[in-house]
Amino acid sequence: MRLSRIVSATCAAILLCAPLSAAPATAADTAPIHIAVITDMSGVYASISGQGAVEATKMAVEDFGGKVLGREIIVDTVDHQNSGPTAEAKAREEFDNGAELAVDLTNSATALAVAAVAKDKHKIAIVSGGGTSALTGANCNKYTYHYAYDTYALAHSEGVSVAKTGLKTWYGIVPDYAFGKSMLSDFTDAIAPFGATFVHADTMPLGTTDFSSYMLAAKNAHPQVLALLNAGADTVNSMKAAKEFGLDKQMKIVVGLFFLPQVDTDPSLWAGAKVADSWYWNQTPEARKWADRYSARMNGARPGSIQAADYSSTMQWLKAVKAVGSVDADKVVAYLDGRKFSDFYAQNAEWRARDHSVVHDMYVYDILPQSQVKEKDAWYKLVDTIPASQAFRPVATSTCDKTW
Amino acid sequence: MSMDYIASQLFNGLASGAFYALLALGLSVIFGTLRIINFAHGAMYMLGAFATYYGAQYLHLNFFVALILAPLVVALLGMLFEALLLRRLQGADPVYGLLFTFAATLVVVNLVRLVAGAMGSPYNIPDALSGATNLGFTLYPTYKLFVIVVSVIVCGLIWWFVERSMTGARIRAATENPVLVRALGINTRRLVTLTFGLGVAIAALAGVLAAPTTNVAPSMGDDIIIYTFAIVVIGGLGSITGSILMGFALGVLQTLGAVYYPPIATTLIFIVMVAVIALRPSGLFGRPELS
Amino acid sequence: MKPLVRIGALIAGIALLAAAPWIGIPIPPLFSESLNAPGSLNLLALCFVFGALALSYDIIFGFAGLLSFGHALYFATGVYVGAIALTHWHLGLLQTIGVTLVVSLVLPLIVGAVCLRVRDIQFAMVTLAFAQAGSILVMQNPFGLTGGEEGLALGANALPAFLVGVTNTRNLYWIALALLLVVSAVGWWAVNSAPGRVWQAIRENERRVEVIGLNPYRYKLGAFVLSSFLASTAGFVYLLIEGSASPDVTTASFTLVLLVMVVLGGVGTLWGAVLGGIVYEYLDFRLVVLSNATGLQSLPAFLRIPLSEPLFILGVLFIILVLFVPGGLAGALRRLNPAFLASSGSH
Repeated sequence: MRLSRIVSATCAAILLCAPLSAAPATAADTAPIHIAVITDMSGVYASISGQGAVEATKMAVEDFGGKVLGREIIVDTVDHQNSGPTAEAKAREEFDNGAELAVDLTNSATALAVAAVAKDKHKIAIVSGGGTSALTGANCNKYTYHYAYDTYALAHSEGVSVAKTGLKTWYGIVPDYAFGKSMLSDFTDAIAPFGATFVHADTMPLGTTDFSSYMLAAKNAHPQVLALLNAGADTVNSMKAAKEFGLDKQMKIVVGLFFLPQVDTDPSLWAGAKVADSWYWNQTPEARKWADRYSARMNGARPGSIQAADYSSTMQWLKAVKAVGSVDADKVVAYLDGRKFSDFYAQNAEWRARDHSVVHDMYVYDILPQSQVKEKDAWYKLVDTIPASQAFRPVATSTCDKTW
Repeated sequence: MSMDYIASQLFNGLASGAFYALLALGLSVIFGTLRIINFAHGAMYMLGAFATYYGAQYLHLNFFVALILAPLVVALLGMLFEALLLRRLQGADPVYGLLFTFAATLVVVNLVRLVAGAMGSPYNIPDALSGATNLGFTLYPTYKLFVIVVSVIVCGLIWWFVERSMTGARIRAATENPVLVRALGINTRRLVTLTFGLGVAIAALAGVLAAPTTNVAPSMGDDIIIYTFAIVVIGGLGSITGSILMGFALGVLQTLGAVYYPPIATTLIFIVMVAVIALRPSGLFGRPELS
Repeated sequence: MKPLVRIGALIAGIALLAAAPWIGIPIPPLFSESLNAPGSLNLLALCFVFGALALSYDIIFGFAGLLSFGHALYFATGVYVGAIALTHWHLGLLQTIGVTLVVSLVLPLIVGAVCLRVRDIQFAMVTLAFAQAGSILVMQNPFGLTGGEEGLALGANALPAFLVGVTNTRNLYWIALALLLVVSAVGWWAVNSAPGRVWQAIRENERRVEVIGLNPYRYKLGAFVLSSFLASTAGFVYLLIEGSASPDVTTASFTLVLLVMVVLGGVGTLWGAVLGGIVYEYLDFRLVVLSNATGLQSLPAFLRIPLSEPLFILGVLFIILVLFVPGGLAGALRRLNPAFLASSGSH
């Protein structure tokens, strides 16, 4: 059959027509430097990171001049597809082919995987998307920095801010996996000093799509605060269920993990919720100026904190490389450790040497209803600022086994 | 825990069981006629939800119109798929049809993800159905009651149609002995295509009902289809009665599990399934397969 | 082709593959570095593992005619039992292999005994449900054993030195090659043996087998256990290569992808399945690089994004192949060269 020949020939052609991707044999000191933006390009995190993260990183490179140490800088887009093994394999490929820095890493599993690769290859990874505190705890290493937020910071900004207004009885909606459990334990610790406790915290098994029974139970328990300590679709599903049972009128709803671009997917759903974040585009004139430049490149979309963090971390790294005159990771780490800085993204920030947590002020916001929003995507209203020293885990209680 | 509370949770169970029942019903309808496990069933459910969202977004269709229109549109797509593509595999090993529907799911889900993004599209409960109704023993969300009522009605209608009506009899006959049925002058091809469309329509209807209370995302079908398969095994493949009854029953069971011991909630259905297979392999309402 | 020539070619091919770690030639379209670079060897090793896995599936599906949707469960068994034994129970490598082998025999025996009470589609659904249950069990992280959704990484000292580190990738490569050869040999021997012929008879017409006095149940169970056992061994080698266990390998879609691999490669030929497994894994890896190449990046998003999703391409490819080339790649290749006969069985 002629057709079968054509099809099988096509299959063979697909195999063999992969473009020549062997790195050109140029001398090491003039070869371009690659920065790998390892993110979720098309999955659930694409809007809070994705293409926006790539653009933000490119902006940093362009603002820096496009070159460092006489070498061109190229930003690589790497889609980890929310899989740890995929992220690991691609990170290896990138580091082997000229990448000196990996940024973003939205999704904790991929962040942990690439952190291990960075340690192995002696290249730097700066995580702004993934939130697991393990990055500066059990899984800390010399070549990885945790830049934007972690579960401890979320708990100690949001949790503290709400608990200190006197709301003592909390009800937790917690997914039964590592992220959920660490959120619950961090929040429990954060609200305890104010006499607040979780009267109940349901850990629901993975794969739960129907939160009705949990919301009904929450309604029956009459807590003052409902804490949704989950992520992604679970957050949306539980919020929808909460509203269905009228819980938003009965108690304060705290959303543990949330980013600005998510509001757009359903503004009426999120109005009235309280969230914590590391940055908001309309908070200061500097932030706004940067956000306007970002929006011009992203069809009017406003940046979230992760994308801003990617710009900030990339810029910091480029400056460090220029200052030490080399991309050698050990030298860059030595330069960054202990360094303090402030930019449009982070206030009172420090590259902590002890555990490689990059600390900075955190903020708590109310999400405004559509009627109170004065311009497109201006959803947040700042209600509290938590200084860096209080938001992030104190160095004294760090579980990072610093062996470097 | 008070009786009111338990009763409300039972209603929660019926509401979630409603979705299982509709989806299992659709699968059984399709399997009963085409002898194909429709792996694309979850994708059809998802398309129903997205059709509702896009209908509201661009055509300003209200929910009740979507309830009728979306299943029709998705059913049309399903029938085209069956008539143009699936039908070609009629003579081949049934596994090809199955894999084909799986491949179709991969393609459809990725296309939707491309257009709509992976995060989820907004859709909320229509005003007419929002708020709570006083059931005497408690105030219960109106929308959930609506879901329960609609699915019971639809399940009842389909059951009657397949088991009691003339057309239903023809469909069942066409499965058992297509040659004879064709000899009687009945267009079996058209019957098969229409039945496939019916099964898909039911799945899409479940999707429409799900849109206000579930995250409308391309992956929404993947999660629920696994439980649906288990329920179909428990009820008995191809058994309409089994699918409906077990769908509601297991929805209630899963919810009660969530109330008393959350960690077991999602595995309960599988535990029941293993028990049923061990005791009655062809399912509670199934007939042992003719080889 | 004369049998002697074929055997000669086979031996030459194996020798060439075994010598790969010393061949420092770059093959640009296929690999981004030279053949003996750790990255290329790693990729090849993974391809061999998937080839072996696909072959194990062909035994149960292509030869015994049992459509199992739960094959991923056994691959995952090899991965997770190995990881748990090495990491949590601190067993040595040999002991771990022993434990894994035992579990890999007992589990399919029990599960198969239950599942095989039904046939055809019901059997498929039941195996699927068992695999799903297994997947959920892994995610629940009972007693902290499986690591839940974060997976379980092998600790620093879990493996003996010769298996760890970039310089030892060649050892893992050889182990994977050995796996593929052993699994192929076992598979080939099994399907050509007396029970193997009964499997094929069962596939064709089970009732006839009953009528001549054989108990199909026992033979089916045998095929089921053998096939699952081989899958577990592939899983164990996969664990060695990856260095960690991830719940990705327990998903239903993984088994379905496996099925697609085998169908693509050609059901019932053994070598077709191996080819399907190798090609799929290779494409899964390389499509990434392809999509990053400048050519694809400049395409508008609506073309670029689906083309960089391996599953999407797999779906489309599968639809095309099933419609036009029912015998899979093996069938197509056979048709291209009429003198090339299938080595065993035909479908």
